[in-house]
Amino acid sequence: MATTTTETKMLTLCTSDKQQFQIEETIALQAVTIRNMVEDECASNVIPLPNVNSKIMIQIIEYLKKHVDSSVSKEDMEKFDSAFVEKKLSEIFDIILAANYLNIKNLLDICCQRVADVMKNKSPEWVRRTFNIVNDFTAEEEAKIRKEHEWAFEGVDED
Amino acid sequence: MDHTFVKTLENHSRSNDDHDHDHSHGLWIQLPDDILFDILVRLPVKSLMRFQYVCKSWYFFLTCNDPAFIDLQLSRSQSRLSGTKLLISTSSFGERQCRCFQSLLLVDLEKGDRNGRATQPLTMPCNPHHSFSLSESIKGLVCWHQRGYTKKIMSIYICNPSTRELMKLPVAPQNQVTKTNMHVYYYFGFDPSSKEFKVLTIQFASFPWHCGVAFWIFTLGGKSWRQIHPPDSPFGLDNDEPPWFIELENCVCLHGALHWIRMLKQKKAIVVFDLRDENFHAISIPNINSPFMLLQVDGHLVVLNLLQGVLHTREVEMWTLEDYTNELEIQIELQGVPLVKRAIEDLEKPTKPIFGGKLNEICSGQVISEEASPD
Repeated sequence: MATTTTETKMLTLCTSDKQQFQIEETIALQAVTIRNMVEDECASNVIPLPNVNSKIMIQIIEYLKKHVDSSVSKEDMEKFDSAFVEKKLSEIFDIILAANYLNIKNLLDICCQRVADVMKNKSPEWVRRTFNIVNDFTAEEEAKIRKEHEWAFEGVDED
Repeated sequence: MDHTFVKTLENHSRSNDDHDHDHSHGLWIQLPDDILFDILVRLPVKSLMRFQYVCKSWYFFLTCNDPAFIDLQLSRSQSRLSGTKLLISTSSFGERQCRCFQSLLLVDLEKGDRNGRATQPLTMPCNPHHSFSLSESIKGLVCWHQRGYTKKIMSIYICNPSTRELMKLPVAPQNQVTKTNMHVYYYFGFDPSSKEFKVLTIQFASFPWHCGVAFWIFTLGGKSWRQIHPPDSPFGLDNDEPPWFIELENCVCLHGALHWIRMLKQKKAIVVFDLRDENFHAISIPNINSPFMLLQVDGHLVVLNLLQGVLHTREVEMWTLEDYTNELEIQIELQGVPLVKRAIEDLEKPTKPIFGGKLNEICSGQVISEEASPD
């Protein structure tokens, strides 16, 4: 990890649970929302991030620190990304919501891809449970649609 | 950006404090629509077909044929190997040796299913004893038509093999002077300027051929065929050039135009039918003496020179039209194509591939499902 010089400009981020994170400005500015706040000078010394808790913030900072480092090769960055998304889906969802709020496009992309990869072979029942969706079809409607596309249910993972 | 979900998140996280185990499985809130879009657009078509019935709002979204979703889903499927399949029509002999039975197979290029099978048969509403032809895949769709015993066209369909949707088209009228020994060719293409899919049919009598060549066009979404009279048709009544000097079986659709090779010795060229202005023109090609074929590779028009000993050297000479508008050509050497070879090895015996083409997955979109009965 590169050591920071004394002149490096630092930003303080304050999460929803009132934890403060001091990070280099160049790292934080990868988040477009933070950059806009800094550019519009609507942020003073401390930038409040009421939609991100400290647990998620730690992971996002880990991601941003890696991605600000231009010496990392494309291959190593891809390795880092694929290892980074090896998390429980609930955590990925939290990171997605935070990345969406902070506007970090690459992070949002790899997390959405991770969700798609996990759900690819799952059943609709699994999707409903995981995405907190209520099935609003009647039993008849459900049976009818299912019959039309029976082939799409072949080879589905067991829950 | 829509931040309304944030409030929901706070409310839910408070009310769910006691049910942390629920949260550990996944979401305890609804995802914002733009994120849901971003996740769904990365899924293969088969998953999307299955997830139609998660709930009503997913059903309406996945069946409303949102053009932005379809385009992005197609371009994502083009960028990953698992989104590309090989569509092959095969022939094999059934119990009665004299009858040729054909079927369509989708070959997975990445890996097989859970049972290790890489091929998946497609059922078409066809008479198994009639021969059929398949167009190349255009944006995930193929045109499929079947001929009866007298070579008469019996039925024509636009098929989306990824969703298994079919649309039956009316058979084009045949208004020739003589209806015997008619040659009828169908071509399928896409015009990006109007975003329209079009089917072109070329019809002529084998003898006397100069009694006229007829062209009919069907625009997908339209109701009927309309006859066109392209002013610069290379099939005109010019006695030098009967239609069979054009390699009508080998057609490539690219950049909103259909392309064939004209074989005539002194006038070898690529004949182009522009789908937008519905007229013909020609592109000159290198002077090649050995047999050659036309195909497309990564969006480029390619003339493949089938040099002798291709199977031995595994090298072919390939001419690509690099700059389509300025007709600039370069020649490159190409190694054998192991990808296609591998896929064909996977096929079950005793099938014999007679057509192969890369197919990209596309969800619903332009094809409307229709109940189609066999002839």
